Amino acid sequence: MLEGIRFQQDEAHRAGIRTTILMSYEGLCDPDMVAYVKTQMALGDEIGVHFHNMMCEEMLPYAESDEQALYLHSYSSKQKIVDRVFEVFQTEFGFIPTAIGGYIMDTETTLYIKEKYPQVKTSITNCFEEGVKMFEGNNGSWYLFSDGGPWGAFYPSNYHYLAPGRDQDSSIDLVALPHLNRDMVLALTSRDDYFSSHPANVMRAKANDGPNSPYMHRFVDQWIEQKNYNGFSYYNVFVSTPWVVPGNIFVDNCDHARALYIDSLQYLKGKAEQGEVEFVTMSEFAEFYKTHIGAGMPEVNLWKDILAGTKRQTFWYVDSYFRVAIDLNIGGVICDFRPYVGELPGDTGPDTEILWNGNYPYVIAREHRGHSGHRCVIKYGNASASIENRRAKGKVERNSAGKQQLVVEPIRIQVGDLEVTLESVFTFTGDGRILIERRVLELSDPSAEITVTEVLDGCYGTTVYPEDMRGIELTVSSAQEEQRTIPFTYRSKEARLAAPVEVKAVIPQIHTQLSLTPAKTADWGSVKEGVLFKPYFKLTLANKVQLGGVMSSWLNVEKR
Amino acid sequence: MAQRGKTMKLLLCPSCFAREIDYLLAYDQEDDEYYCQRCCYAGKEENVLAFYKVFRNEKYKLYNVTY
Repeated sequence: MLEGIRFQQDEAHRAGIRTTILMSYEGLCDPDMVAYVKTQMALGDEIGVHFHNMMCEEMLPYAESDEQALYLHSYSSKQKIVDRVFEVFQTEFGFIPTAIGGYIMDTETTLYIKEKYPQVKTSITNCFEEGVKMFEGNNGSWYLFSDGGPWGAFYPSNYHYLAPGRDQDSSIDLVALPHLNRDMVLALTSRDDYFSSHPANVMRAKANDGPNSPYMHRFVDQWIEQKNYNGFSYYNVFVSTPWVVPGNIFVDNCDHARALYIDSLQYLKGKAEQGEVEFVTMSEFAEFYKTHIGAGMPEVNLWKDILAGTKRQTFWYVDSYFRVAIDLNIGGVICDFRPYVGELPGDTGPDTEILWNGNYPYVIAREHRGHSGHRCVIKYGNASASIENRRAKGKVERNSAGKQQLVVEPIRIQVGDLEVTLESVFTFTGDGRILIERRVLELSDPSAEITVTEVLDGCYGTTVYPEDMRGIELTVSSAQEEQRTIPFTYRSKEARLAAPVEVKAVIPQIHTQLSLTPAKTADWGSVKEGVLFKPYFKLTLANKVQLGGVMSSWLNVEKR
Repeated sequence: MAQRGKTMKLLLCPSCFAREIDYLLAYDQEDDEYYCQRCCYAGKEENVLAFYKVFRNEKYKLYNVTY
């Protein structure tokens, strides 16, 4: 371990980077490691704590089991482990660290730490989008389920470690950071533990070219580009020591591993010299974040495929109400949606209901539940076509009120013998709603009238398997105060009304109501339950539109 | 994470890898052949490396492309 960290530290310093060394309990129990880390502290590096690798012989008397993951211990065991690690750290270094981390730091653990050790300013709390696919890819050996949270920095809420707090009162006074930056296209389409800001992971994915990785350079560039959308971009190079020593377990040449590590830092050094990047420690970043970014602030990400070289783009938006991903490769379909409004608990361990499952539930997750999604369908006569059959490009803009927007550049859709040119605009108003506008820019027959339909196929869950949908209620309400409700019984029942004001699904299992409402009017709306072979609910709003017209609707989430 | 120490060389099963599953190949000394205990892949080291190459060239089209 010492050989690896010496190499990594020396190279970081050579690139002009001061580091944050997060000591494991195993490391804290090693006098040689502690002595070495003190020399690095003297050079200006930050020293903190990491709760992985805490289970060892020295910890057994303090913990309630030999569970290796802190987040999977009972609350009382988590407290004892945390106290022991902080005690040893303080004995060795003489202060309480302000930067800590784990692969998952759930809410009860973070609240306990903040109460007992208020000096802590920042914590690595989650592994963005590591869940089902990573578990399968690791042969079911890595019990870490952290799907559904933000990808960047945020103030964690006091109910779920993956949900940002809405304001100061509902947030824990600490800056939460992701374990790694991820490839924001491959995070959904692939295993995102392969494609991240740890060069060893890129090596595991075989996305390096021996000692070189042009992909890593493009990866850094993409994160720098996010500054254009949010005013800043958080990036880390989180590196473990085993991969840069001979016999590493990442199935590649050690010399290549070292070269990749050096190259990734030198590339960042070059960007720093160009004024694109500023190097900070974890606690310094937390101070920046607290000064510049308030609780509940949204963040967006627009990412393009930089590895396979396809036209694919994915757009992400997150605030304290929800996280959404829009897949531009299928015309701008909402492919993932996590409503945080339900304020579900996310603490894990043998004394909790969810045990190991730290994923935040979805209502749409195309990667896990292929039929789910929110899309637009155009009908003309007896023909119909969906936007999902067209590849699109997107751009991030802001409306006149400063709200974030995704503008999906016009796509041409063939509907029977009519060609329709459609532009979609998603506006995120920051209050649990998305305004979705479909602008009909061109029609090959200018006198034609088309029906633009918003279709949401939803469900709920945290894995690839369907959950019990019984208990869900689907309701369509009209302007004439007519209302029809369908309890979900897997019987394919449908209710449809003219002039709808709302179509909604109430999902008591996740304390969430999901609805579509017309921004002005709609011609008709419907709700439909699925069957066991297709266990989804369908919400639909439709409007007749002519050339130059717009179909505008809201997608809303509320707590129920 | 790949399992440690099951083979002479640490080689991931290319067939499992193509499905994004990390599985180290085992080695059969008698036949001088690597084989997968998870799927039905078997091959010499050069076959394994050739499989990786094809995979990368076909899927990661930009992995070695510098702009």
